[in-house]
Amino acid sequence: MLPILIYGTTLGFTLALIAIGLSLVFGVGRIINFAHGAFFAISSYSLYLFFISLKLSLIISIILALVVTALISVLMYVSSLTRVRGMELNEMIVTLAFTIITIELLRMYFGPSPLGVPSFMKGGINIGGYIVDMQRIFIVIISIITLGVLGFIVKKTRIGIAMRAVAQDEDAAMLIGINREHMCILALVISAVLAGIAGISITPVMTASLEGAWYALLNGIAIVILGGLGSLLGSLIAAFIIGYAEIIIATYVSSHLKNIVALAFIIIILILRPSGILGKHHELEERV
Amino acid sequence: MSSRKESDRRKVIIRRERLDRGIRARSKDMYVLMSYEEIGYVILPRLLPPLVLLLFPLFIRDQYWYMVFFLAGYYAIASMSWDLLGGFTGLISFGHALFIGFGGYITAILNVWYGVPIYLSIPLGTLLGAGIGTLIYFPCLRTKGVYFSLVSLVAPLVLVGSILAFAEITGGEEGIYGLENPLAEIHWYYLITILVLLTFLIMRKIAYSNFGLVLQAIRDNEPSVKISGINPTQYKVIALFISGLFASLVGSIQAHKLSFVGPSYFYLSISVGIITMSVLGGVATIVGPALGAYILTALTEWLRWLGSLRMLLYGLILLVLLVFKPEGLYRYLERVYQTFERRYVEG
Amino acid sequence: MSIILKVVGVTKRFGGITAVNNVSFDVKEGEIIAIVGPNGAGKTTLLNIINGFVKPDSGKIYFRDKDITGLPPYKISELGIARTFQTPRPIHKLPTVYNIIVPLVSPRIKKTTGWFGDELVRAIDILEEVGFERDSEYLWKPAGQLPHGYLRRVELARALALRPDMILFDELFSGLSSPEVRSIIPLLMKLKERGLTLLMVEHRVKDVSEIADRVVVLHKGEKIEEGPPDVVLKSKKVLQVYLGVRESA
Repeated sequence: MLPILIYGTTLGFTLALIAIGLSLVFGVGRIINFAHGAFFAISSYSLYLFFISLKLSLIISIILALVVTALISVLMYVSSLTRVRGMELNEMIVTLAFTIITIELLRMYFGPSPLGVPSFMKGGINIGGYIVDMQRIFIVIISIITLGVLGFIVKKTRIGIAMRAVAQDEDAAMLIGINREHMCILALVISAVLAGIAGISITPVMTASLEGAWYALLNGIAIVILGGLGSLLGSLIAAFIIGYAEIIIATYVSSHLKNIVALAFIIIILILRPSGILGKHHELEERV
Repeated sequence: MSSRKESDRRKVIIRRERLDRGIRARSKDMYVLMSYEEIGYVILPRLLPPLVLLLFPLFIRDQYWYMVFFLAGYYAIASMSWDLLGGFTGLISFGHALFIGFGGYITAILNVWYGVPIYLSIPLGTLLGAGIGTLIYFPCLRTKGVYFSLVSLVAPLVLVGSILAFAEITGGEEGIYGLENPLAEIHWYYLITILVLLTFLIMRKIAYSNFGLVLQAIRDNEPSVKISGINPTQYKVIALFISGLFASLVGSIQAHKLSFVGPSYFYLSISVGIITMSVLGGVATIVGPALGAYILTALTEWLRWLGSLRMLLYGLILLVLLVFKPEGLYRYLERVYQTFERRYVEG
Repeated sequence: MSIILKVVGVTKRFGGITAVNNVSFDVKEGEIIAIVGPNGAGKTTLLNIINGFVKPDSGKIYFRDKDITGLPPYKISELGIARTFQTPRPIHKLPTVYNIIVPLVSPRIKKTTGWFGDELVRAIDILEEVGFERDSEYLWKPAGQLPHGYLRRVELARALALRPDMILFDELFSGLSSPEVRSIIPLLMKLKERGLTLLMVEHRVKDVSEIADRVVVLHKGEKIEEGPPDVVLKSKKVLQVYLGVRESA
């Protein structure tokens, strides 16, 4: 039972970071960002590049990896997404195409097999007779800090309030002088950094792999639907539900069925409550 | 859509002519059909592609080309079926391979495990494949189209995992071998080519029917359809099922032709290939996606040395097309042809 | 005259805002009833509740004594309540004629008129009735390219194509010039003569005073007055609300 709790919590935090970014971009920019998984993979591969290949120090590698991820997200927005803004379906196809291109380029450069990165910190802590390695502790701590900072930014700072204004009513936000596009790019950068933090912190546990991109994307989508499109708190709750469920299925049933948990949750929530656990989106949408 | 519009306009004009004979109305199309050259202009582009497809085996006797064109036909049917959803109904499927996979696997299970003969396993596999796929997607059809797109991306990726989990039925990683394959390469070629032509005719019929009009209305403006007393979910489910039928048909045909099914049937590269072909040929035109399928299949064959970089190519084509030229090849060709025709006819 | 629509104690809240608060009224068969109120009075929400786009938090709606509360919009349309939108919502990419074919292939038409048959001709007939010329190029243009005044007519045609018993108009007159309004009024009277019940949501009482049999005035989600137009126009409560609005505007 204890291992499930520990692994589930770590996975839950990682998934929360991934999904909240996805949800934020949808909330602010109405973009379904299929490139989110690519950001996750880019961060883990750039960590490998800086830390292992170029032998830079850990802190610098992490910072550089986050900067690269953020820059690539801006590059994607400016180079291609701006031209299809507003066309929901084209946005999705473009971001998917971007993901595919990224993954194939990563495959070309780093090869198809997963790459390992050593733990940032050695050793472990004994929790109730079970030794938890430091990397997992690190993931939990860094996630809590990140989520705290994000919460502060969204709730308290001017920028956060402006972003929420855009998310609630684009036209009204434009009227009081908030630039929608800027907020959109900002949300995208924040989401890329969140995905980057998740990717970087989990790489020593999971290795840097191309499958990681799809894993992050499909779980992110499942969580966002479960929590309610655009609801950050809903995503947080849903991340833990899916995190624990996956670990339980992988432990007691079959690790192959781990991913089907995501699909099962999506289908169940769409039947029972299409707006998700905390989503108000559906109701707002029906206001004509 | 232009073709139904033209014929409808003509209908209205002819009816009016009968009512008041004094007025002579002349539609553009009637004017065009006045000499053999002009008849040629109208008929040739419609007749040539099917003729080429049906007759080329008489001149080229290379198994390799039959194989390539089989693959192109396979993608053409899948892309046209995608277009009914993505182009006409506004439900962008990122996992059309789901239907192909279900069709293939069900056919294989029926044929190999239960000994169902090929002439039954293909239709049954097609029907069941489309049915199960529709059932999986059903919950997300009640909500906005975005949900369908999201789920369609997730579903095939996830189901590959469950195939591995139920290895005793699905054969796991290795898949299922030994499906009955009574036909030669050339027969498979003719089968798929005839099916491509049939699919085209059926899809066009559907797209230009009142049913197709409602689908397009759902794509453009769902609330307006609801207040017109029409249940959009019902139409979407039917469109999904029809689309799924054709996709799982190619899955089950492929299964028999290769005598094999495996997890590769569900792969994202197939789904992305279908989207790329449709976007390349022109979304919401039915012919366009088929055209895109033939061109892109030929291109990937020609660029065989790229190997697994095929996905990179798809990605780049998609990105560049959507950002710079989203109208697609078919609409472009149509326009060029029309200006050419007009210049010729008018002087 | 029998009562065709009964609204009983309908309440709807969006977050902290009460958009419609305990509103009740009856609509008699064959009359023109107007719901009037300043911006944010909850008129459109009320319309959306009747039409099924929004589910009320409490209260009931009966159409011909059948409880229709919470039914999906297409069911309510099928029962015979058509509506128009305040900002016209045509099917942009389809030619105008095909916009009208959509309601013509709905289950309601199938039920009331047998098999569909020649929906193309019917669509053109209906468009002619609302003021399009038979030969007009507009009929074959994508509806998104029509001028605003024509879009209103397309909305009207779509509602009529459903052969409804009752039509809900959401600010039919807003944004129209007075000649355009004058050209639509005879059409509305014709519909009334045919026995249709019309429910019009409008901004000002004056706009509908000519044609409405009865007026319901909403203010901040509550019904403050109900009666014939001339009576309502003189009502103190109504004057207060409108004068207040004018001062702040």
